[in-house]
Amino acid sequence: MRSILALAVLLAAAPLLIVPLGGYHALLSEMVIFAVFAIGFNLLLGYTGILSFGHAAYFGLAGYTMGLLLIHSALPLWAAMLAGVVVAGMAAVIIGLLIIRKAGIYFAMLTIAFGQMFFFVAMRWKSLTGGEDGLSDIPRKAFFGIDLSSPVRFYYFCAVVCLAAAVVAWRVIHSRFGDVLRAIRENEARSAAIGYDVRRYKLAAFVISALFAAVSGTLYVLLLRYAFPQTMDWIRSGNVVVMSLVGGLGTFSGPIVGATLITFLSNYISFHTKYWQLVMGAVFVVFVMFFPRGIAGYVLEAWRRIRR
Amino acid sequence: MAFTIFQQVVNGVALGMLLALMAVGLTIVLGLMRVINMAHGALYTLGAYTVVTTFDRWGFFPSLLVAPIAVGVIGLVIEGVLIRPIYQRDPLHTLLLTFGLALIAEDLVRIVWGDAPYPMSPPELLSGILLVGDMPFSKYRLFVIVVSAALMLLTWMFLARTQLGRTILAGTFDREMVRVLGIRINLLFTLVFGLGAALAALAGALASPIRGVFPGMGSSIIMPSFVVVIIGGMGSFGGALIGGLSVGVIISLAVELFPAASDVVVFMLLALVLLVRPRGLFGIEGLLSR
Repeated sequence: MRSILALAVLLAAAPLLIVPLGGYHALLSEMVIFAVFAIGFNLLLGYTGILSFGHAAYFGLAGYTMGLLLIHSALPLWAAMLAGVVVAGMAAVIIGLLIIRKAGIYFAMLTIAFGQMFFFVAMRWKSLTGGEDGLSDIPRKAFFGIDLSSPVRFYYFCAVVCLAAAVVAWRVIHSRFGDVLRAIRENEARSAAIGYDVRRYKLAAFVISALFAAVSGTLYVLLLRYAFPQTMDWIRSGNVVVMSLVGGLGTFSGPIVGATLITFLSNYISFHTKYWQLVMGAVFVVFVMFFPRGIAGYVLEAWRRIRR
Repeated sequence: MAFTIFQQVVNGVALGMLLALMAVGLTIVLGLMRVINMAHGALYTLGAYTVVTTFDRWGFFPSLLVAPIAVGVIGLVIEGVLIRPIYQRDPLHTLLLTFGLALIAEDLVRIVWGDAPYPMSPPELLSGILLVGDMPFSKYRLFVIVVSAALMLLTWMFLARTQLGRTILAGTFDREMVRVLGIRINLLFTLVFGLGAALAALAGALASPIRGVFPGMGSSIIMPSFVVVIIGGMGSFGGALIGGLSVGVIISLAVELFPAASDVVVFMLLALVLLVRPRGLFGIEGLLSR
């Protein structure tokens, strides 16, 4: 639980540290929002060993659903967010059932294809989604009476959600369910032989991580008050994989480190050059080639050595 | 009506042959090397931009030769320098590596050639239409169909009729066995990756007068190419061809009949194939599913 406490302190203090350094609350919110995405994704990739390259679909689907409800209905914010998450979760169940029998890179390829399907729907269904222009002027209503209109308040809202996400992930990892997921990662055939219904566990991990992506997606749309097709395309799906890898796969703090760092970097770089993809691509290549265990992986190892 | 539908089918066959050229490279690299090459679209883009660059000096047809050679060499270098050191790792790593390369390549194209699309028109000889009876066909599209068909045939003859090609095919079924038989499989990997790159470049070069030349052109073709590979069955040459043709024709017909759904129709086909025949049309049971 020390990690959770440390995270709570960091989240609370972050504005005091970052804002004097020239950061701003919207950027901090974005960093925290992607941390939620990556924390959930790590349950799937890091702990279960399943690679999805299409998770942006659930991120985007939840954001669009919530955005549409906030624009066209009188639902309160919490209900619209919940609806977005539920819709994305149902999509994950349907797609998961269709593809969960496949393993390894075949599975990865299927997730790329189905993820991209949502992108095309958002692009083409103009009357509903606004096509390429997206949905703009999405109202950021109050959350159970708490006004979220100021950037500081919205940041703390995201921070609380992020903390909750971390607690949930912690509980999942340190449960019997989490043990089974790790067993599947280490040896799927053996886990099945002991009597676990491997497919059901994998599907559960897939859907749980999609729910995290969905929560993150609703926050992202609230932050920008804008939903657009690129939230769902394969580049964004790839980004969350990279965040997990750069941070450190299968470590608790890794995805948080990776998400905040990559989000910060890409903002910083895109501020200075329009060719930020070039720089980010180079960072990925260097990490994959030379630091595959990620920042948290190496830091934890160094820490163990020091203590020994 | 029947008239336009027939023409759309011909357009679809042209698109389908281009998709098949893309899918063959993807599927063999996947089958032999277990690498999902996210940079395959970038190689296609580079093929088209090679034509843009050499077009003025050498003309269209010589450029069609230069593109696969230049990009094929790039493919050999990518495999030898970047991918080879990390084969032993999880396939995730090669996937992420090629994802990073795709991002880098797209921005490099923007830096070298700019953001604006290049207008490309077919060469004099192939512009205009050909009347068959009283049906007009675009000469260039017919040319694309003939050339791609010839290329697919050549690739097939290489794979099925030469010693080297048969070794490669054997490797897609069981690469450990091929290795155990004393064949230097790493050389095969490099060769196959280069071949895939050359075919992608040719597809991009051939596509340039039809689909336009712009930095994001690779990202727009890679998704249907992936779908073709899955529908056809991973590692299958015949699957790439049949899958490419069916996806091409279905996209073209959908553009005519239900324009709003033209992109989504492909994924519906994909879902259908997965439900009815999970390994793809020509996929081998068990291959790549571990």
